[in-house]
Amino acid sequence: MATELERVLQHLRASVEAGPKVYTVEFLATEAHTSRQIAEQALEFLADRGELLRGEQLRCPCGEVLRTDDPGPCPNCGGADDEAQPVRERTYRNDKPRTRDVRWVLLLHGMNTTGAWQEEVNWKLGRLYGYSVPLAIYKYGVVRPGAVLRFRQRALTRELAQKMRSLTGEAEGSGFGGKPDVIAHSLGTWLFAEALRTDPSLRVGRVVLLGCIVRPDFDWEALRKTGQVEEVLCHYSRKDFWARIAHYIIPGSGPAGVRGFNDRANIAHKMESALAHSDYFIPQHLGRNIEDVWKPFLTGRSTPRDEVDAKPWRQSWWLWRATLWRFLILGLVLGLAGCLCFLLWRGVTTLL
Amino acid sequence: MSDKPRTAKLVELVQSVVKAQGNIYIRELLREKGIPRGANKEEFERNLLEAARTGQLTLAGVEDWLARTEAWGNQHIYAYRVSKRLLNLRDWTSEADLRKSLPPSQAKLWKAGEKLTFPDTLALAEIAPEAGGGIRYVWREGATMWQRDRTQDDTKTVDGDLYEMRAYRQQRDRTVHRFVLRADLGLACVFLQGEFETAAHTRFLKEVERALAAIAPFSDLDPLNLSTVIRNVDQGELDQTQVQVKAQKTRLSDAGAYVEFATTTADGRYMDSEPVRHIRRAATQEKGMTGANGTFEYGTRTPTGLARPVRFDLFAGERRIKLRAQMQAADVWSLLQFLDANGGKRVATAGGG
Repeated sequence: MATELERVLQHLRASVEAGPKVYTVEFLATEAHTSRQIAEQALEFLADRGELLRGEQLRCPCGEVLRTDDPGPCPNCGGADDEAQPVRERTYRNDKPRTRDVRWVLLLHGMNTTGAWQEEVNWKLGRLYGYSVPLAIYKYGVVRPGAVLRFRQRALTRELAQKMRSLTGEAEGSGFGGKPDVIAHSLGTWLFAEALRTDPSLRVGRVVLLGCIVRPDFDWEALRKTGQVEEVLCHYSRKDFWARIAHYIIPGSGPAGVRGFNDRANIAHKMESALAHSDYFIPQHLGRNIEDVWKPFLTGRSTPRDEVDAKPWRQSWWLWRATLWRFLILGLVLGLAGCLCFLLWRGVTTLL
Repeated sequence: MSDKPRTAKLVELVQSVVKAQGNIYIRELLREKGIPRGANKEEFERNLLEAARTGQLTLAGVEDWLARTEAWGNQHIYAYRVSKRLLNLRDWTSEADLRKSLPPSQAKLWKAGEKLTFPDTLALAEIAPEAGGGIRYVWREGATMWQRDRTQDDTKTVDGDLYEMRAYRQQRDRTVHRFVLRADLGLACVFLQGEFETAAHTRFLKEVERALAAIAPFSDLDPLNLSTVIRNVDQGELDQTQVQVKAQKTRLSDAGAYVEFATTTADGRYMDSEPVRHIRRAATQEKGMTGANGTFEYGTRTPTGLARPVRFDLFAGERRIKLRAQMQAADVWSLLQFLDANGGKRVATAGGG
């Protein structure tokens, strides 16, 4: 008996996690395939512990459920059978907030790939929900030199904003609703943040930032207050080399992917200690990340809040920022490429 | 009118009010007039009669209050959008214009103001202008009802056989049906009290159509598309674009088949359930599904400001709205405006707006 009760309690606890519910003894007995007595014991046990609230409702013989504070003839049958009285039944409800539905998802890749990981995420997310969740994969190509040049950054930001508007319109038109959730990686995080900052008409739901190269002092709270963003999760790693150095090369960027954002109160953070910049997507981590971190956040079941007390980030001395460095690096790369071409040309002409 | 008949009328009105109105509204009348309240109908009646005796409660005051509360809610509604042609046909705010438009047989009912006559058969009793522009037709009927009263049950032996006698007490009830055209809202509605009977409703709607032929022909009234309303209101809650109305039951149908989403609890919403909500989402993309009927909860407030959700049903096939609880006139119109806003675009056809 005790084992059966434990089984039903375990079942009930798991069920209670999925948003607000109102149980009756009959329902739990059916759902958990147990006796009324065990079901009642389980419900009473959780009610005694304050995990469920006791209540009552009236059930008319016709099946209609009536409020106890709204007596009177049944609005369904009008109390057609004068002799049959409504039956009082006990209810148990939890006060969990309603979970959140993912409507559609926008995936944004980083600068070093065209997002091979997106195909894996697409397949895994597509199977995750009990209904169809369209995934839009925005590909802007490989933009290694473009990322360091302001005019290219602006063009890429504009293109992304335009694409987001067009996708939103299409999603609304086909009944999927307006606001997408966003999963962005690396340069995708920066372009996305810039698109929101420069275009106040853009509206998104929840946002997962991975290998984020946005400045840690970026004002997400302002975007939340204006309704442009619902919630933000920064999934970051102490071992993310590229997030650490991005702001020395890419103008306007920052190392949020390695230390999180300054605003720990309003932005959800999940720290990893061993993942490199793109390790979030490799097969041994992707499934766990989706199931344990991103899905609970996107569906509103839980929001990670890590305990690390990070010092607020400040940008480095102007000379070390992406001011001269990016041109030096760009010059160096172009110089090396030029030398290589020259040597190749000399080699070819010598041979001929 | 001399004081004596006026007082007699007031007493009669008070007694009928106590019998017919919900406690929540009688309490509001007492509160509004500064009369001590009470715990039950007996105390309400005693306090009201005392206030009538001292002059604290007047006939005009009760009549004004009745106009705002009586026959609002707890009724069936057929809602129509008024065509632009009809709205532009006359000045709906001009009493003179409205009165002039009435056929001679109805002219004598203009602002008849008699609120206590309840004939045995349904009869048109009053035609009056609406405050914001529009017109109101009121039908009244006194009805005999039988109320189950277990206290008078009895058993009797007749010729050796035991008989059980179940008692019903006869009581007079009053029924008010209305047609109201609100030009300011572009809406016209037929309000019917009592249980739903297809034949009785059809008969009454024909009667309304006949009575309104001169002033608001039904060809200029486009029935509100409740199928669209059901889908939009339900979808609005799913998408969290509207929070005023909560779905308790929604039936979406295709020809000959349907799916129904419903809660089995009095206070719950079916959308609280994540798996049920996910299945409902799948129906979002199914454009072939039609809103067939639904039960919803509309958030109103009591006169003292407490939340008071009121349930209502929408029947798309019958184009009927059923309000399950007594409401204030303002709340009813606010709900109707909400439904109109969710009824899709107004189409500029002969009958449409």
